[in-house]
Amino acid sequence: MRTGHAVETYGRLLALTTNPITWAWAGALVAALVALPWAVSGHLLVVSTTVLIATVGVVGLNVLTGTTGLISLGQSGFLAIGGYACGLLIRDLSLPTELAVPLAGLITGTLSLLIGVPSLRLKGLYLAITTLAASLIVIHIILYAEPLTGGPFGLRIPDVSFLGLRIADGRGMYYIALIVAVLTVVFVNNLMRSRSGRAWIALRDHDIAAKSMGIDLVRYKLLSFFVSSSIVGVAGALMALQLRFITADVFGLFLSIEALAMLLVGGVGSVAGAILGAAFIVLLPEIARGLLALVGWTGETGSAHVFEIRAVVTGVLIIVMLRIEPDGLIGIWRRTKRYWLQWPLSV
Amino acid sequence: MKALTYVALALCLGTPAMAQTPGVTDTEIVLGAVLPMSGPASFPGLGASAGSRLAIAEYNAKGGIHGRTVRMLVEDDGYVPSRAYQGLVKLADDGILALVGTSGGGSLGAMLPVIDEKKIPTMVSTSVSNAAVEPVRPYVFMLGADYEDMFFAQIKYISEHDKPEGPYAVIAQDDDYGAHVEAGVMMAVEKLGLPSVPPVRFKRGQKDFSAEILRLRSQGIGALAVGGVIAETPGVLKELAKLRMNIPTAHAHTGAIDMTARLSAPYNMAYYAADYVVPIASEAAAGFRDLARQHLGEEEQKSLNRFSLTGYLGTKAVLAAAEACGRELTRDCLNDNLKKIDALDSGGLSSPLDFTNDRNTAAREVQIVRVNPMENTVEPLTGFVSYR
Repeated sequence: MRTGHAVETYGRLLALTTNPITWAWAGALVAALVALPWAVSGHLLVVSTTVLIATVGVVGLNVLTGTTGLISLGQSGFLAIGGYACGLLIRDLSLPTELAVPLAGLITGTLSLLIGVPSLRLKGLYLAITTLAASLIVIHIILYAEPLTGGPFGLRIPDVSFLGLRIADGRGMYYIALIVAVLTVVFVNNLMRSRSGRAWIALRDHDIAAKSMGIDLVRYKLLSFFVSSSIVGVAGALMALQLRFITADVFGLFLSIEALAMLLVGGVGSVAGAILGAAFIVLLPEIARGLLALVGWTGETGSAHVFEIRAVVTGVLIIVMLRIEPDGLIGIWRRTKRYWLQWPLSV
Repeated sequence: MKALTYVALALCLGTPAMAQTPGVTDTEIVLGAVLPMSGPASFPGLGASAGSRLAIAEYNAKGGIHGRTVRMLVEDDGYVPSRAYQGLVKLADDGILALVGTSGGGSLGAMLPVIDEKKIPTMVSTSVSNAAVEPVRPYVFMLGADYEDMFFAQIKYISEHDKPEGPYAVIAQDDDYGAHVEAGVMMAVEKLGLPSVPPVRFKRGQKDFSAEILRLRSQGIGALAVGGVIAETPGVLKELAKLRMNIPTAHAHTGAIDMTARLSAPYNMAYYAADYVVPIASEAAAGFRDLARQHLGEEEQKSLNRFSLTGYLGTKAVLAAAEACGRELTRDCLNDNLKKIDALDSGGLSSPLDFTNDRNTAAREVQIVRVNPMENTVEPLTGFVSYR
């Protein structure tokens, strides 16, 4: 355990971490992520890009559900708004991608207030159902607003560039997702340590006590909806750029459940947990594929069972995590780290 | 010495083109397919996969293609477009000569950017989609009639044979497939000068159609086109039977499959369906069933359905084109030979395959059948007729 950890300046107080070893590890992780495209196949690169996009989405969900305690099943709707907004801004208004992606996030955040305002008094199951209904409405509008969205025929996105990186190029799309994911993680980490973040945590832990301490519940709930949905909208925009063709089917309701599963498995309320959960669930089919190959199953139907395995394992993991490890994967990591830091005196 | 140099140069120039053809080695040819092999939509995927494997087994039993054994890699997309995209990238990484399974319309849409980028020869046979041929690509081919044609044909047949008194109606699911069904019915209604009511849409997966059918009854409809897949047919028939609406109904090709007929049997209503391949239980498909018994395992035989016929025919066309290339098999040669196919024998399973038209699409001719779920029979009413 480190000693001499006294903080003597405001700069050190506000820093994400004052431990040079943490910075070194973070730097090594970023370097590894930057070098990844040269070390993996095209398929694993696509999977890695999907992990990064899922990270953005789940970190966004964590702001609303993990930090503020407002359960939401509306992720698929917000992803769809972000995806279609980005696609339409690029295709119809010829906006540069660097503008279209953040604008898509802002549009999603703004539209989310249409759900946030009527939902101010709702909590728990009632809020979950309301957000689920909102998702259904969004998908319905997408299907019926055919002149705008292409309706059931979908929206095709041209091959554009983002900061000089082509979205049609596997590596280019990976770096776009990496840049956005890193910026999102840094932004949200800082947000959690700000006044708003502390207000959200207070709101989650005891909203009446928070109100009695002067925290404006309406303002911070709406802010949480806005920020969370904006980030999820950016994730939706990245999904649209990766696939270059989106329909309502891409944003099925199951995405909302998957996102919650990632959060639960990774660790609710923690940005690192959201990242771990997103990576674990997205990589689960590849892990399953590898394990099946280890036991000698190398059928020509390469992935016929791995997604079924993922569905089963995810369900089992959620039950196990809720029962035995409510802090999720990040809880396991923290306990393991603490054990080895204190070893051989750890208990 | 000079001659040797020229020969060496020629080999150096010639061999890389062959060595670089993905999915082709000296001893094998690898095809790929992205199909829904799990989840609620696995029915067509498992069937199509079995059909493709049958075509491959048939060729391998004859010694392969110019000494090369054929095999197929399948990736499961579970009918999810993002998974289809991922699966195709994996197949491209693994190295495939051509793609012979393309899942549903949404999944194909997600795969098209990759297909265009890598110019992968593609046979769209699992589910027809206008996106595959609009615009026409020299490396993408399709098997099957449009849903518009299938429903146009049935509405025309109903107007000529049943002559219903009330207006025509269509109830279809709210996706691209449903939109094509609507378009086919509306085209028929317009061209034939038939009365109609506004189309009704339902959410994909909907099981209860009581409200929709009640509304249509209040409009006094005389015939109904149902743009569902499998469970929607018995769902609609149930409501029609409950309200004693004995009207002719038109259904997609999935209306003629055994599962749909069994689910519809309690409602005592025969109905029409249309398809571009023969019913798999029919006499015309007896040869196909015999072939399957010879070459497929028990599990694969159980998964045979209507989609096996389209998978079989599509893969057969690709293999025939590959065979015509001889040992120097490249993607360009494969595409050229596919385009030249003008009368490939389908063994009576559909009209002869002809890709020489301006949409690179074969088997566009439609056959109308009458499905009697009570007796579990499918009776062809017409031959394969073109409605274009």
